[in-house]
Amino acid sequence: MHAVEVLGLRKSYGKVEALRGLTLRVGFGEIYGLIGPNGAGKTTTLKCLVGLLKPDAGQVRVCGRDVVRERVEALKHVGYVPENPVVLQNLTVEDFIRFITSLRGLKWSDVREDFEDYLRKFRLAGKRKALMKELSRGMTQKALVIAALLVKPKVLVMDEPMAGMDPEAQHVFKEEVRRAVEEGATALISSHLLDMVERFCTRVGIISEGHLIMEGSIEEVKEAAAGSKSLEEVFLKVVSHGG
Amino acid sequence: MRVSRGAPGLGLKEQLTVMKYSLKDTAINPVIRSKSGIAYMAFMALGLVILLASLTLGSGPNTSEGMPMSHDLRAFLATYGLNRFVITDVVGSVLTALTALTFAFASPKVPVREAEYELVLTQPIEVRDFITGKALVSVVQQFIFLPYVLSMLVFALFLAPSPAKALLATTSLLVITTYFALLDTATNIVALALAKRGLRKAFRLACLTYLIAGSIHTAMLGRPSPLLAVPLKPLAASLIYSLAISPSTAEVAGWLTLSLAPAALMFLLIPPLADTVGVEDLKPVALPGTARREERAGKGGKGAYVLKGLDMSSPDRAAMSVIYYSAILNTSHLRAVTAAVGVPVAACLAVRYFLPAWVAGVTGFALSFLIPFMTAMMLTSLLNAVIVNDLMTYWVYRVYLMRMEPVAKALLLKIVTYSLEAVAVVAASTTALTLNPLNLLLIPVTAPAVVVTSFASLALVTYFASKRKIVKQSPSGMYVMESSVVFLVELLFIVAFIGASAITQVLASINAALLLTAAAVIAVVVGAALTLALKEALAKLMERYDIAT
Repeated sequence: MHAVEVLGLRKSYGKVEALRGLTLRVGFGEIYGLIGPNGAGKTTTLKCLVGLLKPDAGQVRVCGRDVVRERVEALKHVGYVPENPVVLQNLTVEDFIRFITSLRGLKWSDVREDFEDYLRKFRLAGKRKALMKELSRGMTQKALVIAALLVKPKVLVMDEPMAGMDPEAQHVFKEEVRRAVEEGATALISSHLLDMVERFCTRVGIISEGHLIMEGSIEEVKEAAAGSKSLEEVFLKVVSHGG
Repeated sequence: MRVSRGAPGLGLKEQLTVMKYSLKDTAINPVIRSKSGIAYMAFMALGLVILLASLTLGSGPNTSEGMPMSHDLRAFLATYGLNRFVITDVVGSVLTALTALTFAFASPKVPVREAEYELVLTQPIEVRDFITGKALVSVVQQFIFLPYVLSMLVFALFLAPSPAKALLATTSLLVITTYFALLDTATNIVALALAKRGLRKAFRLACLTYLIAGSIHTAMLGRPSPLLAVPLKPLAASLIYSLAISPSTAEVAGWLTLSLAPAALMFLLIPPLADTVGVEDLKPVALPGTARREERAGKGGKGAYVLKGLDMSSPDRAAMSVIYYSAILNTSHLRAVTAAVGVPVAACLAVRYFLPAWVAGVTGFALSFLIPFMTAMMLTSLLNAVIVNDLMTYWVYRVYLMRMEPVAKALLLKIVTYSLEAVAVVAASTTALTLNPLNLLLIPVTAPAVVVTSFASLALVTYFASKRKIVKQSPSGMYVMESSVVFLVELLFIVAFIGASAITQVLASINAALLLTAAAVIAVVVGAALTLALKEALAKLMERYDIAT
């Protein structure tokens, strides 16, 4: 069983085909980087994974559960950080995160210690009583990452999770994701930060025009792309030559 | 040397550019870039053409008194001494009072859409030109939105005595709405200019003093004071005279020409006043009202306004707490409801004691048209707020809550509560006018209709959100087309409401307390059963349709 299994996924927006039979598998304990040009279908893939979009065809499974047919069972294992976060503006940071954990049926007393720990690590302790609308983009991102980590999901689905984060928070983010992965979780991260993906992810998938055009460990994709020296070089070769 | 492309130019060109792209973004492209939008507008345009053709070919109101309904209305109003002069004075007074109140309570922040704030205002364009361009947009929007024009024309056709006067009445209504659109912009800028000089409170006091003086003078005279009736008389006269029999078309056209003056004055005020506005005075917000709300929130204890603490003890309670209780049980909402009930009740009591001859006329007009119309308008705007505040964060529920039933239940109850509060305004006002408390039973009697229309509105909004991605792309809630379709649904509520209020009034007047109480109990039971059934249906709809955030 894979942590994430996407088989022949198709999704269109009117006449625009965003995904054209995408297939990818991510195992437990992996940090998988999904990269690709704008409009390649990365965000659509992630939204299908977390049940925000229904596929036109194909299957999406999380921990062996079909996201469409067994939505509730599948999403019990998911923590999500969206690309353009719209949050509950008039809740305080603490209330927002309590709200998320409460929706998951978690008792606050069970997660409070971890919450305090994350607040301290992400330097958000001083903002716990601030309204979400008062936070900067980077701080909002930190709150969303904390919420996703706090529910201890088996699969972390994150769309540009480090957007706006300061370098220290980026470091903490990577440390915490690595820790979650060591505990058995899987992280699927979509990003345009190729340097970060190269150093942080254990495997990478390059998506273009709704297809997965290359996949493997960082070394494997570098080798496959005519011995490229960096992921950026791989990306430019593969995407500009259509794979 | 490298030369930057583009440089500040003449104001008019920038103003027209702002107008052109803003109109494309908010009014034109949302309609013409979809087949259903084009079909809808074509349907509306066809309706407008047919109506205009029927007017010119004489199949419209062609008697000297217009359609039977307008004749009956005039006869009814005349019974209570409400001729066109009195009604013009009343309408003029209301318009003046609204203007004074808008000036008194305007926010000293000029609201701007986020995209415009980020993109347009970082271009080499004067803030004055940007604001003037946006004011032009608000003017043009009044005239190009066909469903809006069509609804006004239909309204005018029913009430005007001739086709020519129906057209004049429609134009007059458009001028009035244009005036208020410009007033909204102008008052923000005036408030800002006054705040910078430390004169805002004094100006507010002056506006309120003027209103109080006008009200006292009205009470002393037993009719609207010239202090209130005269300033905006042209706006009122052009509308009321176009619906009256005696004034000639030329006379109405004269008043209509004069009515352009207040709107023109507002427009001319904007560029020089906007010269005092800096980019830091512009507030990037989703909704125009948000600036005012945020300003108030900044003064008060953030988050502490929720009377009932957030209950996070279970997923269902958390959803209910955040979606429903935090919206309903907060001091600003309770203050608004108290004012919404208290002011009309006070006005109705004043009419009852000072102007007893008007009681029947005021009751009839308010219950049969004004209040249901205002309620439907209010509900449409509340649905916009639901989109902005609740559906934009829909991803949170889809990903972390997973079941939609608690969300559907909280949203349904929220809209039902807002609707019943609107009904409470009518019931309390009627009770004040008649001093018969049985009229309060109107609130439970309308419960089933309220639940059904609330469900229908939310279901439509969910559907629109999935089809047009309005949650993602419209920062202010629904686009105009969606708003108008939802408004049509609210018309169902108007019909049900008018029926329920008529029956309630009849039963209250014959003192059928037992019958009315039984009807109220049955209605509450039916309403509760409907809520239970429809919340599940709504949850299924929400699960079925994608609302990409």
